Amino acid sequence: MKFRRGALIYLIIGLVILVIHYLIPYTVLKEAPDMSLYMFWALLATLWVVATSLFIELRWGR
Amino acid sequence: MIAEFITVLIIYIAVGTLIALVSRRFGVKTTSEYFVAGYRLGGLLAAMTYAATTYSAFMMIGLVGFAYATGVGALGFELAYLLATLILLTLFGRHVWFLARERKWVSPSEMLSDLYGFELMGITIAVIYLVALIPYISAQVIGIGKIFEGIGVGYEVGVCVGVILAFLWIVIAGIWSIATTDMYQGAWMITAASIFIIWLLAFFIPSNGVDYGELVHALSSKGLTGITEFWSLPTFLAFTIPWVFFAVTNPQVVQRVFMPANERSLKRLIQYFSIYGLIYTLIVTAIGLMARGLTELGVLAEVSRDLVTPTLLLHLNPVLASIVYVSIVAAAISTINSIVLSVASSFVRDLYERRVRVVDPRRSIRLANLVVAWLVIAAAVVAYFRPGFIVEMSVLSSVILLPLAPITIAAWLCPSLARQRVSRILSYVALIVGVAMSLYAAISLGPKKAFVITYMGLPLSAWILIATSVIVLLGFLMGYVSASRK
Repeated sequence: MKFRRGALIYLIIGLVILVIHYLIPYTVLKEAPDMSLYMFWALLATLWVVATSLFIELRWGR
Repeated sequence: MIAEFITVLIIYIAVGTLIALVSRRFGVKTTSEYFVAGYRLGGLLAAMTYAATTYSAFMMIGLVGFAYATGVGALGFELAYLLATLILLTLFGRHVWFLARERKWVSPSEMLSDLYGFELMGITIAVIYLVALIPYISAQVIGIGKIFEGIGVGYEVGVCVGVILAFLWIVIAGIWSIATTDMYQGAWMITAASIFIIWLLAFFIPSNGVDYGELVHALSSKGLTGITEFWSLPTFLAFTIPWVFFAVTNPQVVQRVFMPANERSLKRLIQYFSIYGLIYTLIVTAIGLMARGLTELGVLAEVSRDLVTPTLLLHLNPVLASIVYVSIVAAAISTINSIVLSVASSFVRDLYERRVRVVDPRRSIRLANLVVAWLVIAAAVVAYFRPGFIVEMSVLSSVILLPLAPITIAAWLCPSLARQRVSRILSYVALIVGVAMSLYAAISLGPKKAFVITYMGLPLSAWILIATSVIVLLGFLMGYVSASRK
């Protein structure tokens, strides 16, 4: 199985998103005084759900 | 409350059984139809069964409690699973779906024995599924028993209802009755969660004279809006690593990728599941956080982690509370029957159908029902007697299955290399080493401690993943060298 260019870009962005998911909360938002950490994780996941949906719809298999 | 709960439960069981019976019209004549719907599941059905199978009773009891006790970190833990699952499904889903129908895969262990051209691999994996997943199924049955006990109906009644219902909704039409009841149960779960949070936000919190600013301030003053002491990085890794690879290690979800009728259905599986998972996770963690805020403000009494949901539900209208309680039963049932069917498929395919010359479909289905009955009874016995070690093993189920991650991904990426003798032997060694590491830690430290213990700053799951990945990689590299020489 070989990843096409689109899938490779998706994989790289996905890994970056995962790193951000782990890194930001343990650095910038470690002592968040409000709901910013909750919002950060919620928005990151929403962004990834939308990006994945678009990728599947527009680029899958191409 | 007992009368309302029983009424709602009877409605839930009656409608579910009716749906299961109607699903018989899809027709089940072969094990392929019994286990993977003859590869013709529609998009919505595929997505809902994926969601209902994944999200167990842990969400509404365990995750609510985690958010309550440990703060926002619980959300990060659960969303790490969702992010990683989307990546894995998007990158490999189409390829696996295509291969499954081309090579007629029915069980995930059969997939691996086929990819590696190694029968012993499939048989060993079937046994590993059993060791890893029986405690997990039992934990779900125990959850149902505890709900019944808490309401006053009796623990044993809950265990009986749970296993009978799971068994019934499997044997009526195999995966068809499971998928259709999963869709119904998934809808029930998200509706109940929505009712729960709307009631909290619109009625319970305002009626106690609390405003949201106060609530957030109460959480923040305890450090619960940030990373608490509980969620040290090694603990966060210990919790998330097995879940990050859940989509490739757990047979009940791997098998669901085989089932969609066409590429469009597969797309809908991923899209609808991701939306469902996101909404459900956000709601469940928000409930836990709000409950903790209310405790800090003196509105709710301080309770242990597992009692947060029941304590909140004491304040809710009994009918609505019963709907939420039944949603927890539904989450458990949908997880139990999917796992049972998946493990049964491994036994029927790897231990029977691949070993006989002529497959008699009726005999295979009878055998499948027998294995299903045996698994359900085993889960019921464990749930009834609650032997400490086996019950605790449920926390380690995904860790025991973790060695399957590098083995599966490597075979998907390089199927030709997987069939090289050295690759298959070292992959098998990796499987044994990984499972042995988790079982050794479970026996020597106890499952709960083994789950969070760290060596050189990394949890057990990370070491299992590193060790098995290195062995698998070595095997594939040697396989590549040997293939180039030929």
